[in-house]
Amino acid sequence: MSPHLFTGDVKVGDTVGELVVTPTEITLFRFSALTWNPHRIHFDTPYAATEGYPGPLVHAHLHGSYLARLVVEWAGPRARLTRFRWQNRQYAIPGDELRITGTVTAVNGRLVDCELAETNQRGETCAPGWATVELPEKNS
Amino acid sequence: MTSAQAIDEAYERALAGVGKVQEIRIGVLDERALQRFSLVVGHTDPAHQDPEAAAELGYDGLLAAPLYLSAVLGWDTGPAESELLADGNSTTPLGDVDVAGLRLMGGGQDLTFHEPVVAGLDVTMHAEVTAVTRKEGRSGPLLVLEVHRRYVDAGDGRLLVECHESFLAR
Repeated sequence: MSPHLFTGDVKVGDTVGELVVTPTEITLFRFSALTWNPHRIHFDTPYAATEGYPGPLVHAHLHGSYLARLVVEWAGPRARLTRFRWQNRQYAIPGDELRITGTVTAVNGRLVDCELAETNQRGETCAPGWATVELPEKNS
Repeated sequence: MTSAQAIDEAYERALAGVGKVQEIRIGVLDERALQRFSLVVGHTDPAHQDPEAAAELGYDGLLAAPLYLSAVLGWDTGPAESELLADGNSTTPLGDVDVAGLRLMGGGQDLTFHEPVVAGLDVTMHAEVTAVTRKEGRSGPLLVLEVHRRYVDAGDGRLLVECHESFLAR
């Protein structure tokens, strides 16, 4: 169970936890199936090689999903994600170790802004992200 | 045809679709599909797996992972395999906006969450390509397509999620 954060529990500069994931070929296959995405770049290694990649590519929306997961797990089930955006900068393949981190950048009443980043084992940023979560009041 | 010509042709075709709003019926969100998506992405909070845990938090159904609606590429049956491009992609990945067989890569999304997305909701998506821009990338010309999607409750029209997404087309 995730922790419960409440208004007043966080301040600018706080760390938004850390998440480390290593997607596998099975992860990618299942994500393709669930999102009805037939693009071979995500499951077909020989095909990916024809486009110059060393393996099938982690989906753009899987990168985004990992970033969103970090912030909702950090904020807890009673918080509400109100805004989330991310950009895809660098590809990842199965076996890459993706580290998702974040920092609180603003606190406005119940609303908390966070800056997020997904980096690979070489320290390259695969996907930066930004999120706003609404925290519950302590007595709610 | 050179790649620059192919991009120019796709640009003209895609431009013709800018501003047209497509209404796509997603239908009733299936609990099992939401559970599976959360499982693969790694959401372990019980509200994403157990309807009773979601109810205890005040939700009307099992809670969807934040990106569930905007990550699914196709909500209808889709084309037969024989109609897919050699790379597996649909010829019309953006509904009836013609991208002339170009490869699309997701550049990222900007999402605003207005209401919780839960199993049992009947959802309709309104999708619109709002802009197409031709750019010179490091590996040649490319198109940037901006797509705006609004996911609404099919019953009362309540806005659930808004998504601005950019795609790179080569």
